[in-house]
Amino acid sequence: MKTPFKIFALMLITSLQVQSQIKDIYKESFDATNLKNLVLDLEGTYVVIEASEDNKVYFDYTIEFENYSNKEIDKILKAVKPESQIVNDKLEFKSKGSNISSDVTYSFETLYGITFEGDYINFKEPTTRQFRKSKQYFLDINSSSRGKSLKEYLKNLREVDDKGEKRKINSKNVKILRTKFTIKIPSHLNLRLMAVNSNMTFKLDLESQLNVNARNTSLKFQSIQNPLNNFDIVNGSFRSNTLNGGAYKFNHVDEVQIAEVRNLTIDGEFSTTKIGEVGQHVKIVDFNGKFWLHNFSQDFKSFQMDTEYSEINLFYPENMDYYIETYGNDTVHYYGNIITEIPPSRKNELSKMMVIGEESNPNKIQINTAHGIIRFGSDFIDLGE
Amino acid sequence: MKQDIRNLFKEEDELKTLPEDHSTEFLEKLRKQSKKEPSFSWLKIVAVLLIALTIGFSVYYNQPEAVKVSPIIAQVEAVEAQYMASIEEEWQSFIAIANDDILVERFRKKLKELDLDYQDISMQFKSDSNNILIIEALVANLQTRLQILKDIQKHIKILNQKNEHHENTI
Repeated sequence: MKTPFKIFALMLITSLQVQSQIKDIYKESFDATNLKNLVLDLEGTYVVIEASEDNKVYFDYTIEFENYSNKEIDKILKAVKPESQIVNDKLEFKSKGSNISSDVTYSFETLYGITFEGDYINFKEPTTRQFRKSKQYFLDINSSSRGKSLKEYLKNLREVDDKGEKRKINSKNVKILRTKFTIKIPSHLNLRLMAVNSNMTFKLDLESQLNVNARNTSLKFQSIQNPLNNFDIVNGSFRSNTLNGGAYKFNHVDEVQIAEVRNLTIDGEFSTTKIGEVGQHVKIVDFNGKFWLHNFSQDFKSFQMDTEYSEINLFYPENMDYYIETYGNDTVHYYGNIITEIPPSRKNELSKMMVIGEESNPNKIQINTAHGIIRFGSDFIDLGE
Repeated sequence: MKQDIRNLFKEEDELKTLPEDHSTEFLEKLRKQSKKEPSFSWLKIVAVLLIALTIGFSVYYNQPEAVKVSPIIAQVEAVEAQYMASIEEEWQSFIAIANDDILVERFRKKLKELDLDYQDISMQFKSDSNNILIIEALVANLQTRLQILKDIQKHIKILNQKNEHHENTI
């Protein structure tokens, strides 16, 4: 190759690199033969957890920068400092100091400002009529991984020009940061997760023990089965296909969507929980939450709810006999056009409100509600009271 | 095929050793190149353009911080003020209709927690004010506070309506 062409190629490569650069953040593997526990301590981290094909733990973390200057890239890379260590039978991994809670992060700069447009201060009113959804519906939405596109992010944002006029933001001026972080784990490892402002997607079924504390974090699981599982989730979102066993605390979790639950307790407050199918031995305690219970398994045996200021939307168990008993104080029930209400008790005592079926039936639902609203439905539930 | 271009130059450097008459040879090559100059004029133009673009790009993204004070901060502050006024209005409206001290206390605690979260996100916003996700998180936090206050009032109103109805029918 002649020298001028070499220079030309070099310059072209250099100029392209300024616009899009892929940086390796952390690549390591650890033999898990002598390991029992994996501790993940994450802050502002987007990560996908997959099954390891061999008996090793793998970390593979890269970030792609588009339209970022080298100075900006250096600043971000300095903030992202993953580190790991093995202490006895425990592998500890920490990743802190970044603000990357999504697979794609967009940012932009403007000289004269931006404004919000559209519905940033409006509220979504629920659709008046909600239909029963199948367990498969929840399995399908949990397997979809579509995030917001750049177009969707920019929908409500406008750039202001030098004359104060609003104009659409040119997507070519937006800086894009794409994260690819995969951790592969062998199935025998117990997991201890601490996550803040993060996003974790588990693409494997877990039967080992999980101990999770998460705040402002989006969590997505497939199947989780262990009687000793313990989850304490504050803010963020939670999705799972199957939860079997354990104790779950949801404090102001916007979106708890679970295809099926069994043998567990849920302690919620200020959360919205949608469950496709309630299975055996489930107990829910709640304050000011919203529940959608779409169906019950054929042998759910016992389901109990104790709630205060909660809104429960319950579809009757389909194609089976059951027994429902409700107790309330300052509570209203809706089923079709029938409204049952009980006024506030001076002693704050619960009174029997409704009974359906034979008490001898092995499948029992008991709901105790103070200051609550309960709606029952077969195929749909109307919210327009 | 991927290869490190630095290695290309290294290999060439290792292969070539300077001949004794290298300065004469270099001058001769220069003379020859100067004769062929017109045939590479388009390449020069491209090179100059590329350099200009690269420098321009670099200057644009490396402007001094003092010049690039993001006006989005002012925009977010304006949105925050608007929300705070609405939240205060809804709070007053809520405590006026709630006759349960425990309920009011739980909401006061919840709003305080959300406010602490907001302070955390604000710190992130100060260090990364162009990140759309952080702006979205700030707005979502304010929206949540307003939404829970609106929802609980709606809930209480439904219960109160039914109780009034019950009192009338007894």
